[in-house]
Amino acid sequence: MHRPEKFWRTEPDAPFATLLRAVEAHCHPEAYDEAYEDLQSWARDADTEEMRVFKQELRAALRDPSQVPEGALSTAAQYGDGSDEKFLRRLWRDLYGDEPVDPEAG
Amino acid sequence: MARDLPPQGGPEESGEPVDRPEGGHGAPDDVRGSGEADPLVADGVRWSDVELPASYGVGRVLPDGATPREAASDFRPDRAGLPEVSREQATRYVEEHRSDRPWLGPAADRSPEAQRAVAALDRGEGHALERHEGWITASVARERLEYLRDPAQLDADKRERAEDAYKERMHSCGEYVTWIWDADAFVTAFVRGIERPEVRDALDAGYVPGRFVPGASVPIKELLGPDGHRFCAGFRLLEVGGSMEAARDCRDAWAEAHAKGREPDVLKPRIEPIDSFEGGTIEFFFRPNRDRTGYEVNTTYPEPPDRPRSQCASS
Repeated sequence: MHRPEKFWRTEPDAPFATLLRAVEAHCHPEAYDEAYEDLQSWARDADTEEMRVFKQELRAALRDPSQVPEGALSTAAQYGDGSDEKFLRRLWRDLYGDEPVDPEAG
Repeated sequence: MARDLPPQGGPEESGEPVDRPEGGHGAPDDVRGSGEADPLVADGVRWSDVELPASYGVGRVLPDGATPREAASDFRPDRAGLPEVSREQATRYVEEHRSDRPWLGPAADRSPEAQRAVAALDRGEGHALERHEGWITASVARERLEYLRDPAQLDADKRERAEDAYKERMHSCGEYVTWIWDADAFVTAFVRGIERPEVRDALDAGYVPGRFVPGASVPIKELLGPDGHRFCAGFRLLEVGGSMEAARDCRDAWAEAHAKGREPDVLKPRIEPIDSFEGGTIEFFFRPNRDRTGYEVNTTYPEPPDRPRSQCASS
């Protein structure tokens, strides 16, 4: 398998680009020390357009992880969870706790 | 497959970590890979072989006509969100702190301009020097990739327990551990990189909570010249069952069990030296500056070019 191009850095309107930008900036092992805690804090408090898009894309990725370009989450996050789906579930839980992924299901 | 790989030899052959003196990973000679047990890996050639130049130097002419000497001389710390430091302050800082901050050591015999860049970086909030600069040795890099031992962690017991030097949790790393093994090459990559538009986009932005600032890439040859890749070194994880995601998952589980004295229930991670960085990039990651008004470089490191990932034969 090849490593995917890091399209989310240069194509902000590409599918899932906001999610991938957030993941790289806040979940990658080379991200800054407080990066993950900042993202958790913003998920609670920061009412910005970028955070709204991020949450929408995170929901969409959780509903169907195969919609995210192959290898993109793995490259952007360098996660140790084993799969995109496990990583996304952990991320949602850490950011939004018990809030349902699908609001209508709640 | 890696080509013409140097022997790894020494105690590491057993897969066990190498004992180190407290407070540092080794002397500058060790950093240069002169020891048999700890050869430098760069493009598959040992540092001591004639194919690799002895040092990067500061007089070479780069593709845009500049020299590393000029680039270091033109460096302005404020352009990188770093505190101002004079050449005199920098040389004094490196001399005074190189024993307690051993990543300053490789710059100690370099120009005052290079030391100024290193001192400014070390006084910033990021960790590029500790984890990706010339004081890293092959054995330290291997330990980071296999055992998740943080090169920046100077407490030997904590390092053995994989405790991160700056976060109150286990250290982490991705599928590569890489570094620039020559101090002048490292400085050149940094001071030239921060002037690139891809990097300036982040460094010129004001800090806004809820705004994402992803990394940036610049080709190694554009920052360091056509043979710049020869001053980069590193190791990569091998895939498990055809999956890099599984390889990182297994590595993290293995390293955590090892750090906590438990018997791992997964295979020891398999790694290999990166045989070439030709065609690769220098990656930049960013962080808010100290007063959260803007950004600075959190870290910078070389990334090898893409290629089909290698699979662990025994998995």
